[in-house]
Amino acid sequence: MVRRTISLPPAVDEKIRKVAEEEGSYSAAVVRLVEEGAKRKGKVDLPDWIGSGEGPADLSENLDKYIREALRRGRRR
Amino acid sequence: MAVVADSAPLIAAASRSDTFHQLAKRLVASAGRELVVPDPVVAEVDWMLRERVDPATARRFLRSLASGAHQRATLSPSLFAAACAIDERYADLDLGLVDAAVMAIAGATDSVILTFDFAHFRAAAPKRGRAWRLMIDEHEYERWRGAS
Repeated sequence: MVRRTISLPPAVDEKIRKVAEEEGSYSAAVVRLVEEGAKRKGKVDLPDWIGSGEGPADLSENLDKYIREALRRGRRR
Repeated sequence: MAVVADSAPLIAAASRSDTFHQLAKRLVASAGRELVVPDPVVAEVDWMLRERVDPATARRFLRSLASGAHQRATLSPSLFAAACAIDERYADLDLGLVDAAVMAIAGATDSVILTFDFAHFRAAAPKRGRAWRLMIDEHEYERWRGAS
């Protein structure tokens, strides 16, 4: 978690306080509202594991086959 | 709404050369923190990424789970027993623990399932209800194959 000091218009502060009554804390309300807003704009950060490697093109489609092959090679860790 | 993930969509999301990468990427991204990854799935994805993609990608996947980007689901004794019961009920399908764990957790939490293994998940119906609720169905999956 990081700490940030920000300035908000009173009307926005009031909206956050209302959401915070349900969320349990002001910070949790800000987190949820920002994430929902980002999601609506399609700007959710992708976790860095997504698309981070390259394997066979049919790996997900033929996963069982690859598992059997690996087991046959006796390389199960 | 929680989405319980099976292995293949996660592997497709991790590997940018996978035929279904763009589809899986979109699905995983839209689930975000609502994505629930059962521990047996974590182990299978980690193992297969190390086998066929690269260890760095596997480590990124694990780190992402550890940091809370998605949720992990541990099999409690009752969930493990439920998974074993599902596997036994559908012994002719030879589901195994990974698929059965996904079904047990989805059944217990009334969640949607993200899988590409439509044959098993259609054949092994839940006790209550007519079918598992799947995040995408085989028609959308096949449409994607045709478009890619």
